[in-house]
Amino acid sequence: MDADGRLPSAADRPSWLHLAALFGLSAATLAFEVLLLRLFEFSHWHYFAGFAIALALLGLGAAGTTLALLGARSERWGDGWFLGGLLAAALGLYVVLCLQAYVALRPIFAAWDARELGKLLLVDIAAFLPFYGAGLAIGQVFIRWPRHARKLYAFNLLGSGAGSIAASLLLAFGSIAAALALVALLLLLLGTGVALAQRQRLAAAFCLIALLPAVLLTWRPPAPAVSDFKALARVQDLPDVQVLAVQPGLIGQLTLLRSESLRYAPGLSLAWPQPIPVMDVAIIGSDTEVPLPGAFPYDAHHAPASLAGLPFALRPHGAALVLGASAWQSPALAGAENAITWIEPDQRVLDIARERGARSPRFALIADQPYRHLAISPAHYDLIVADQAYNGGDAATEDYLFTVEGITLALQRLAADGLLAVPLRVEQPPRHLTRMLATIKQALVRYGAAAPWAHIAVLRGLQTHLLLVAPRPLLKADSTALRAFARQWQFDFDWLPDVTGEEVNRYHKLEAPTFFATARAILTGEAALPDDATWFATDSARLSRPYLWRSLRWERAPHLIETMGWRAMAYLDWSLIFSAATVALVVMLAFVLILAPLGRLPPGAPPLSRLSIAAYFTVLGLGYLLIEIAVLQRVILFSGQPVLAASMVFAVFLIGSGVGSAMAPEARTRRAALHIFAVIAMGFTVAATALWLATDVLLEPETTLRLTLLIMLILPLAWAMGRPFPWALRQFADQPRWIPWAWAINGFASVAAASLAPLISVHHGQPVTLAIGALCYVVALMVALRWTTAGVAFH
Amino acid sequence: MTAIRANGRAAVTRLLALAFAGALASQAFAASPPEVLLQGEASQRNTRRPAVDEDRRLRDDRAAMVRTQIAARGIRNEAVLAIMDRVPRHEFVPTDQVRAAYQDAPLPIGHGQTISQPYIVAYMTEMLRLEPRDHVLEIGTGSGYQAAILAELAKDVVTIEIIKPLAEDAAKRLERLGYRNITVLHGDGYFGSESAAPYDAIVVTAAATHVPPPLVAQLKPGGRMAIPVGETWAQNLLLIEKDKDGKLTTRNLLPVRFVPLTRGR
Repeated sequence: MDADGRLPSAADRPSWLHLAALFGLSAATLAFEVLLLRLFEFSHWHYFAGFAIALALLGLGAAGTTLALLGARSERWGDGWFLGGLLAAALGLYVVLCLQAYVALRPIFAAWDARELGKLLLVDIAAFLPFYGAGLAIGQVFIRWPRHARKLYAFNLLGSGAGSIAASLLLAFGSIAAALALVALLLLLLGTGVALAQRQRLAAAFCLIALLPAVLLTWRPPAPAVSDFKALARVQDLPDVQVLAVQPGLIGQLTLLRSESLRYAPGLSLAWPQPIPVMDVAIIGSDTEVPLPGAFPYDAHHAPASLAGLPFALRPHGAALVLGASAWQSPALAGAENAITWIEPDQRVLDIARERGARSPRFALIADQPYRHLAISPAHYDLIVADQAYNGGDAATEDYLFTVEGITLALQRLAADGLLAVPLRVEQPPRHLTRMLATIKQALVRYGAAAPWAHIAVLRGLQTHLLLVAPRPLLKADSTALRAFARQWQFDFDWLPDVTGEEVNRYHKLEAPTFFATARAILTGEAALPDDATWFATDSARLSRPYLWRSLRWERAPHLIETMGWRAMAYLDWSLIFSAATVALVVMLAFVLILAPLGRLPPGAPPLSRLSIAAYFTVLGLGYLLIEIAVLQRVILFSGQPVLAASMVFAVFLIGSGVGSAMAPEARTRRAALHIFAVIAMGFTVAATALWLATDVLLEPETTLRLTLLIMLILPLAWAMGRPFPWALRQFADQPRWIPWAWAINGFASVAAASLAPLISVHHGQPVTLAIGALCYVVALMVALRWTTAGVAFH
Repeated sequence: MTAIRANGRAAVTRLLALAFAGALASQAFAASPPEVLLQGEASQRNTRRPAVDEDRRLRDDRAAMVRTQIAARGIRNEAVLAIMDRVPRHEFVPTDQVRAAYQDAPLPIGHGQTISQPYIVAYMTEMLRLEPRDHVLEIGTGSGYQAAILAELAKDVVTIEIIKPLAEDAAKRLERLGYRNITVLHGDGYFGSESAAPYDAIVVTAAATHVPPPLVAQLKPGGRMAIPVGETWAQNLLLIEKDKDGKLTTRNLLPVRFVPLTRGR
């Protein structure tokens, strides 16, 4: 019975149709989010992609504000409102699908070209629509059935989890456009079914008419327009280009191309007289190029004159380990007497190489993550070449190999007179070289080297440094060979233990020997860093803060811009800048959109005050995403592929929280509140301990067992974290006007946290992000305890 | 004696085989000859000044560009300044970008190419120290703007573009503007243009993972090559100099520190 003594009617609770529709819409929304991220990485540049996604997700928060402003009206429109929101989301998906096929973006020009800025905003606003429509529909159900918050939230989260898994599967086996079209079609079919079941004739007619074009678009989805500045577009523009293969995959679409104009030889001497043979290229996504020879073994006649061939000239026999795949192409340039073990996370690249002759007994190709292989493999090598360093990386992308711990592992896997080779692109002023040297130095110290400077040589050509690191002080024979190589093929030294002044700036002349001065300062500590090198970060990267490719020093950025002018734009870490801009923008928008409906909301019945409601849902939104993203960042270490890690972590959190929310207590009692947060604390302790302190144990098992273990460790935490939100929503059962407002606050906090988490992890480490997330739950507990009144329960 | 003769024959056979293999290999590497889209002439008596009819606002914009973006940043070479003032940059950008032609920024021209920022064009031209008798090769015609600038200073310019639409547009544009000492080729610039080699100066506008060895070979002793290195948005310009003995050195063309605008010039 309710408070008036009436039995609950069917209208007072959601039917199975409503729950199924909520599940389906939630699945479609999260699937769209995952697909949008991949789509924007393909067509935008990746740091813009994060910014664009955040803008789109604001649609959910804005929907909550709209519902709060509308008050009871949305509830009165009942099923029609829900269906309207669902169809608006479906329509938005089709707008995005069609728009992305015609609008190729050049975001870099948006800074001074109003048309490019307009195109960027058009695409980003279009992406806002599906989230806004979905938010209007999903938010409304919580207002209609406030006493069923647990069940509704459970279906919302379970649907989202299913959507995350579905999107990953679609990307693994199909193109982005096909996946997007299929999600849109399924949503439209769902809307059709709901409209017919509820006898909403107008909506049903609209859906049925729209189905035919929708099916056609699914059958032949329009491919995304790729900016002409992307590598994929530039290579496809070459004369006589042939597309040999297109393979979908979670990492990104792989396109294998051939043209008589494709030649790659980074590190080649200027003095080499012969042209380089043509190579095919595999482009992952739209920008990552991995050249592949037509056949293995490859006649790399230019190898003796190249920094890429130098490590194999120094160690012509024995076992060589190649980590990653890039234009550095060590597997192609390896000596005929070397046995090559090639570690690369993308199985497709290895499969192509294998088809072209890179097979046993000479080649062992292993799809794995380099750090993991170094951690678990007992093998020792005469040579380890970190090809993946040549690709560089994004400031906010985890790179566990180039950490003190990763380099130390590499040193431990080398034979006594082995060598580690790390190629790095030349950047003036020194940008990543400084942190790489600092990281290598700390690794050598950790390994036991008394004088790290004696273990390193750094050569420099026109565009590339090659860092050579030995577990013991460099052999005299190696120094002699390096000097002979440098003299013959005209390379300079940025460091050699006994380097002379004449050798550092001989062929590729710099205004000042900045790189040598940088290396000397870092390795010996006997001199100050040159001023140029201090413009960027100089600390080493650690396993808890694996962001070697972050170079930005916020306090030096104005000086960088003043000194370098417009060229400084290319030296800034835009992913971090956009993350900070997103947080600032979300906070400003949230401030306006959250305060706006306040005037129309009734005062909260004590002890539920506006401030406590705002605080509770803010910290809950922040804490959930901070913890989820910190966990994701760490899981990348174990899974090896960021996209696989994201799919798995999002699905586990959503499904786990969905189940947890269905089992959330409803009583507003101290005991219920303490129980909710105590279980979170237990789950947090287990997950944090395992992921950050039991690294070696978790790295050991094979893929299936390893991922299963990770899921089992994270699931209890996810389950527990799903309970505070519906528990609190249930407290508004008799004040449903607060529900959309609370939901909007939570949405804004989540979006802000999604951008805040990378900023915190990059600058202070993943454990700090985790700790701040945990602190948020402590604050939520304190608010919850203020709300609770002993002995009062709701049914 | 028989053994020596037999060994000698074997040695000759090996040499011939190697030479044959080398010839085959170079054939495998050599591209098909580029297609000539515009044939230039190297006579100094040709009129190189383009005849351009333009509106006053564009003329004023160009003058302001030279004054505020180029001269104010330290470009001193009077010939370069005069040429930057004469060559109508707006003729080399897409029609919808004409208004932005004299901005202090690179502009996209399609196919992933840009027309460089005016200051960069002027700076590179000044650094090449071109003489009126110089024979210049440009790899990556793009819009043809850089070729036009070079053609105003040098005896003649051979320019190669691999993207056919860009090459055709550039050829038509340069011909329409009256440039008679520019040869526009469509082909793979990796192999340069051996038929017209060697060159006093070579300008490479598109970054690659390595400097094509054929281009280095086609540079005269005493010649200079300007080439960008690095990522598209973080490039350094390098100057490669070949001394009279064929020895190569490079130096960074663009200073790390930005040349500030100087006021009052």
